[in-house]
Amino acid sequence: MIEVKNITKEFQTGNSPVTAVDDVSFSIEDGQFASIVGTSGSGKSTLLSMLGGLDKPSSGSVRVDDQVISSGSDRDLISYRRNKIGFVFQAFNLIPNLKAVENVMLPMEFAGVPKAERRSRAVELLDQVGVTGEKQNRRPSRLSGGEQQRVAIARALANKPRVILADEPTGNLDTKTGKVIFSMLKDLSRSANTTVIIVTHDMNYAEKTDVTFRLEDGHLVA
Amino acid sequence: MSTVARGVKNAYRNTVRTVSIVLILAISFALALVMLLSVQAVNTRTASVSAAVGTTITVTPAGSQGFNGGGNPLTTADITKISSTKNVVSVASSVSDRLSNSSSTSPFGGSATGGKTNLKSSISPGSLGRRFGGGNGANGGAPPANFSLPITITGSTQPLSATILAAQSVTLTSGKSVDGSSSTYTADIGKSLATKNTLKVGSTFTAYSKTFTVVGIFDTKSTFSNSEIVVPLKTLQTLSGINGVTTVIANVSTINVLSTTATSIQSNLGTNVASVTTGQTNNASIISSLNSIKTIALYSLIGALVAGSTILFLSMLMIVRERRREIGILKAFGSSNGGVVRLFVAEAMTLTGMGAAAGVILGILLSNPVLKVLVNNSSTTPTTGGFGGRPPGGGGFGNPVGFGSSTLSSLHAAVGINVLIFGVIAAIIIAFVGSAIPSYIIAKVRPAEVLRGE
Ligand SMILES: Nc1ncnc2c1ncn2[C@@H]1O[C@H](COP(=O)(O)OP(=O)(O)OP(=O)(O)O)[C@@H](O)[C@H]1O
Ligand SMILES: [Mg+2]
Repeated sequence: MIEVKNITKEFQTGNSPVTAVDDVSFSIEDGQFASIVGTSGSGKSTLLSMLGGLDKPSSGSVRVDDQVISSGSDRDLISYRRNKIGFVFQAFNLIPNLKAVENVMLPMEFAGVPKAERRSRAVELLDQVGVTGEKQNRRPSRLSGGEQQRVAIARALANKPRVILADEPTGNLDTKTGKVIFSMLKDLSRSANTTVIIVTHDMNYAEKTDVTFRLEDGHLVA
Repeated sequence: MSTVARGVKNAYRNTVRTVSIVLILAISFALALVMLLSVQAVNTRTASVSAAVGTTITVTPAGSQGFNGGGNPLTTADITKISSTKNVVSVASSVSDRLSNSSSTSPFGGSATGGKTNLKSSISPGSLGRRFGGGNGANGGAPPANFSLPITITGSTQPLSATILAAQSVTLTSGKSVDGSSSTYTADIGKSLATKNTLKVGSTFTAYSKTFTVVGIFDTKSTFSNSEIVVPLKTLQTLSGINGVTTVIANVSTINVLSTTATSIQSNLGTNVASVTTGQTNNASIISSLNSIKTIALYSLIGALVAGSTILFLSMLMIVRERRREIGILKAFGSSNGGVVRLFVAEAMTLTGMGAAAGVILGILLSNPVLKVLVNNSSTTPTTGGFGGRPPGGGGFGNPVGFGSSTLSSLHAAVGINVLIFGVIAAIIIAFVGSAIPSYIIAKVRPAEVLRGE
């Protein structure tokens, strides 16, 4: 259960402050597949960052299960991200000099999972997202965009998170590949009771989610 | 993979850059090493030159040279003048005479002083000695079979002073030194003279018709001074009838004031009274030129270290900034700030380690040729920047310590430990600062901001 109450995010740029997210409140049930839509610059990424503990709101609160992450310390946010959140980015953001399997092992290293277990779980996850065999030992630069995003999804799942946050995960992919990635995320929320929140421009995708939030100039509109 | 393993792996991420950083580090390390070696070589050299020159001034009566020539002995007033000259720390006086063997048929030079002894010289006359001693005929004629060369007897306030005995060093092989301020009939005997006449500590011999007791036997490693007798100054003055002293040795505090003090003594006494000599004063200019080389080497050393540190620091700064976004990704997936710092420190240490290893190898390869050039130049000609002219052939720089290849190789050993530790510690600190501080600063920034990109 994610509860967002009156969160506002202001950025100090030059002389005038920019309000990227303005008094937004909503809640999402566990295992729901939610989407956030809106024009460019409407505050979608900023909102997602605050849900994922990458940033703190200027005011308002974000509660995930029993934890109020909007007022947590740096240390609290690190363990929150490590244990409860999995990120998927538009630009994949894999570590370029690590093999696919090593990229998936990375979050488990931070969580202190024993080494042997890390590798076997990473291989299992990669098999699950369809990056199999020898491809698991390739570096990101030797994988296609679609394959890289699959690896990124496997990495997001590494520590069995409660919530997956995906910021335009299909943005850098062609329509066909985008659909595959989208349905993969959708299946996750169905099968593992993982809450999935996806930011997208594409209304075709948004229509297929359980709940859609529309942002306009930082405001949530019905 | 652990954080450290990933950090080490990151060091090889960009081959061209890695090679460049390691190469530049290696060169500055090698340069620093060579300069440090040079400084040490120059220090050793300076010490040996100082030792050769010494800090003593010898004052002898004008017109005398050893037992040749004449002149009047130096008086007590003269000694006072010398000891009261500025920078003179201590003075030692001595008088020397020669004793002929009482049974030798042909005493040397007619035995002007008339001193006789029952001892035989340990120096074998040879045909030249016979020629000079025999005093007749171009080829020495037929010298007497029992001929013995005269024996030098020295009375001194500092009986076993190396300078007075004209030796590099004096060691007592048995017994003790005579008391230079007394007027007893005691003597220290040179090793060879003792052997020749089977004298031991406690033995007696005759000189000037008096019975002397041997209290010590010394060794100077020199054939001539090992054949001498040393007695208290007053004893010899009384017996020989020489009123005054024939040599005054003045000690000064440092080699730097040697020549000025010698000049003052000379002008105090006047050229008609005394002649003043020092060790090779010309060598003082070598010391100053050596010091200049040392200064240059020290500045180069500092320069090399500063250059290396700057490169290392800036490279790490650049690497950390370039991976700004990656730091954001690591943090998004749960890396702690400490983990980020450790990652970059491990990378910096890897680069430093490779640079240091290559630098040491390069430094050792370079040190020999560089040292050779530096040492040879400073010992033969004052090439470096024209410091202090030095007359050709300056024999005083007699390489007494033997600054040869053996000294150089012992230098290597010394460098192996302290210099390497010093350099490696410096590099580690620089690498640590250069990687830890910027990576910590970025790790502290909100990940959303970092992920947003440049
Ligand atoms: N760090 C920042 N400093 C200043 N302004 C910012 C910062 N981050 C975001 N903004 C501003 O906040 C607003 C919302 O940005 P955000 O990235 O959330 O938009 P978005 O909806 O994700 O857009 P897009 O669909 O193009 O990704 C924009 O006007 C942006 O300029
Ligand atoms: Mg965005």
